Amino acid sequence: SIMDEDSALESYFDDPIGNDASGFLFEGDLGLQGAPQLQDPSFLSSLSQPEKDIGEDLDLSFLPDDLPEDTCGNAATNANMTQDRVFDGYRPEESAETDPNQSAMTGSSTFCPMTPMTPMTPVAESSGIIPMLQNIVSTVNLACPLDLKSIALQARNAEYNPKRFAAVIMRIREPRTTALIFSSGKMVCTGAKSEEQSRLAARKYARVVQKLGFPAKFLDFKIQNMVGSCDVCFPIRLEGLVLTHQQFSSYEPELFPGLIYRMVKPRIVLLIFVSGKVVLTGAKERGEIYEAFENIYPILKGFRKQ
Amino acid sequence: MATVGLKCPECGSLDIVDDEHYSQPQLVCADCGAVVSEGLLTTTRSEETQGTDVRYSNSTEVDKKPCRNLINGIHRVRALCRILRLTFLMEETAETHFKQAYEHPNFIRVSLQKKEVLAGCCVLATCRQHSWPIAMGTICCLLEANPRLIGVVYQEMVKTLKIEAPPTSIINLLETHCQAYKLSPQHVHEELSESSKDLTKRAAVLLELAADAWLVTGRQPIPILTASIFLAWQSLKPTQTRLKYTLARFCQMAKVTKSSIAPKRVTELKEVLCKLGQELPWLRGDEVTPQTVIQMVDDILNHRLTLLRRALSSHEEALASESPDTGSVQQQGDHSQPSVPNSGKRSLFEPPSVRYAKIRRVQVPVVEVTGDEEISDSEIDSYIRTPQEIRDYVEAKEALASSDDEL
Repeated sequence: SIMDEDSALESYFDDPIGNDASGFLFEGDLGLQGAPQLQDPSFLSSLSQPEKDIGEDLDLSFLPDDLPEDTCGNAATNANMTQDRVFDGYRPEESAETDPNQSAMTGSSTFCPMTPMTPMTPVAESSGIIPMLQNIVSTVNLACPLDLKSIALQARNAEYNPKRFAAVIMRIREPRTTALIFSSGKMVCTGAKSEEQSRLAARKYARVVQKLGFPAKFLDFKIQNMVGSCDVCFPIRLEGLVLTHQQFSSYEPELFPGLIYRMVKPRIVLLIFVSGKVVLTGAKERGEIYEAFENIYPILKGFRKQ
Repeated sequence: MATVGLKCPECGSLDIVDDEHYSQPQLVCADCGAVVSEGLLTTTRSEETQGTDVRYSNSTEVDKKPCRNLINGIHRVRALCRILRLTFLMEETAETHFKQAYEHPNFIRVSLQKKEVLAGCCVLATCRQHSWPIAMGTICCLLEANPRLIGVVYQEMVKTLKIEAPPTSIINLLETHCQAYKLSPQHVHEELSESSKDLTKRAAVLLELAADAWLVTGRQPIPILTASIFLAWQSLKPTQTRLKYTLARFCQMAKVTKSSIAPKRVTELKEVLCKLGQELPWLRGDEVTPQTVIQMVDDILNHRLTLLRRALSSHEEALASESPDTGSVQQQGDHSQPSVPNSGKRSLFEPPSVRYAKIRRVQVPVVEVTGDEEISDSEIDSYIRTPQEIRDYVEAKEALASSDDEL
C-alpha cells in the first residue's frame, strides 16, 4: 500500500536500512559469533586446496604500506591466501594475459572500468575480482519544511503526484541520480555509483531547493545502503550451496532464480545466481562489500562444477 | 445520543435519548423523564464478546479463548493435511506451527488474507521438515493465492519460528508430479498409455541429465518436470502417433495444466540429447536433429556416461583446433555472440543465462569526484523553470481542467 511505502521510506531516517531481525537471527539465537566457518582460515583453505599445508606462515609483505589496519586484518583472516594462490580464481590461460594490478575483467562485464585506488580498495590478490558499485542510497536533512506543490511547479525536473506518493521525485543529469524530497525537509538520494557522487548529487538537489526559495541546509548526510555486483565467471550449483550453508541461504526457485545468502559478518545480503553473477547489498561502507565478496568467493569455488 | 423518529407518549417531545439504568438499556424522554422502551436486563453471550467497547484482543481477560480466525485457521490446516494425505504426526506439527505463528507479534495483526495463506505455509514447512515432497505451486493451487504472497508469508514464518525446512529436491518432486498424469489404460488409448512407474523411472534419468546440463538450477521446477515426463512418454514408445503429439496436446490428454514455459524446456532438453546423441558410434557422425533424437533416447540414456565423456573430449578437440582462429567461434550449433569474453573456454554445457547473456548497456565510466566540488549556478538554473514556463504550464493545466469539465 502507498502508506506502507511512505513509512518504509521515512524509516530510512530512523533505522539503518536492513535493520530487521533477520540479520541478527543467527548471531544471538544459534550462538554463532559471526560465521565461524567463514573466519576460520583452515576451513576455507580446506574447501579449495585440501592438500595445502595449513601451518604455513602468512607472508603479507606484498601488501602496500598505506592500507589501514583492519583491511590487513581481514586479508589475513579471510583464508590464508598466500602469494602463489593469487590467480586461483583465474583460468590458467587468462592469468598469463592479465595484469595482476588491473581490476577484474569480470566475465561479461567487459566494460567494467578500473575502480579508483582509494585506501579502502583491497589488494586484489585473493580472488582477483573486485565488485563494482552499482547504486548508493543516501539521506540528508534539509532541515526546513517544504512546500512540495510549489517545488513541483517551479522545478523542471520534478514529479509530484500526491495521490500516488507523498514526495517530490526530482532528477539531475550529473551525477545521474534521483531524489525523493519530503515535505518534512528530509531527502533520499539514489542512483549514484560512488559515495562522493552521492554527496555531490545531494548537494545539488539541496541547491535547487534553496534556489526555489527555501532555507535548505545540509545536515546529517549519511550513506544508507550500497549495492555492488560482480561475476565469478563460472556456473554455481545453488542446490548444493543451500544444503551446505542452510543457516545462511534461502533458495526457492519457485519464487526467485537466485540464492539469497545472508552473511553475518559483515552483515551483507548476497544474491547468487547460477551464471556466477553475484549482487551484494546492505553495506554502509564499500569495504563491507569487498570483505563479503572475499568471504563468499572460496565458498563458491567449492561449488564450481569441473 | 438522540434517537430519530421516536416521540414520547407522555409529553410528545422528540428528544429521546439512550440511557442505561444499572446496565439495562432504556430509551428515555429527555424532557419529562418517561421511559419509552426498555431493553433486556441480561445480555446474550455474543453481545458480551462482540458488543463491548473494548476489543476482545485488547481486554485483560487472562485465559483468552481462541479467537475465531485462529480456529478457522486450524481447521484450514487440518483440511489441507487431509487433502494431501499427510500423516497424523505431520498434521499435529503443522497445527503447532500455526498456533505459534498466529500468536506471534509478527502475525497477530496481519490481514486476514495473510492469515489464510499462513495455514498453507505451515503445511508446506511441515512437509519439508518431514521430507515429504511438495512444491510451493501445489499449495498455491490449493489456497488459490498469489505465489508471491505465499513466498513472503512463508519466509517470514520460517524466520519467526526459526524452523529449519530444507527445500525439496526436484527428483523427489517428480514422483508426486508424475502421479497427476492420467495415462493409465483406463484413461487413454492403449497405444498412448504408460504406467506411472515406467514414466517416473525414465523421467528421473532425463531430469538428472537436465540437472547436469544446467537446465534446472535457478528455474521453476514444475515446467522442467512436465518437460521430462513428456519426453519420457514420447521416448518410451517412439511411434509416429506419439511423436506427433505436441506438449500442449499431451497435457490436455493427461489432464494436467498447460504451461507456457515447459515447451522451452523441451527444446533445451532435446538440444542436450542431440549433443549426446551425436556421439553414438553407429551414427558415424550423421547429424542428430531434435526431430530424430527421440528414437535414440533409449540408447542415449543407457550409455549416457560414455557419451558424455566422448562429447566432452570432442568438444575440447574442437576448441583446441579453433583457438588459433580468432573471430569464428561456431561450435555444435551454439549461439555464440561475438563479444562474449569467455568464448575461449566455452564448456559443453552452460546455464542458458550464461549462453544467451543479455546485452549490457554501455557502462558510463565512473567519474572521479570528491563530493565537495563547486556547483555552478548555471547548472542549478537549468533545473528551474522560467516565470514564463510556469505561466504556460498553469494555463495549460487550467485549459485541460476546463475541457475535462466540458466533457
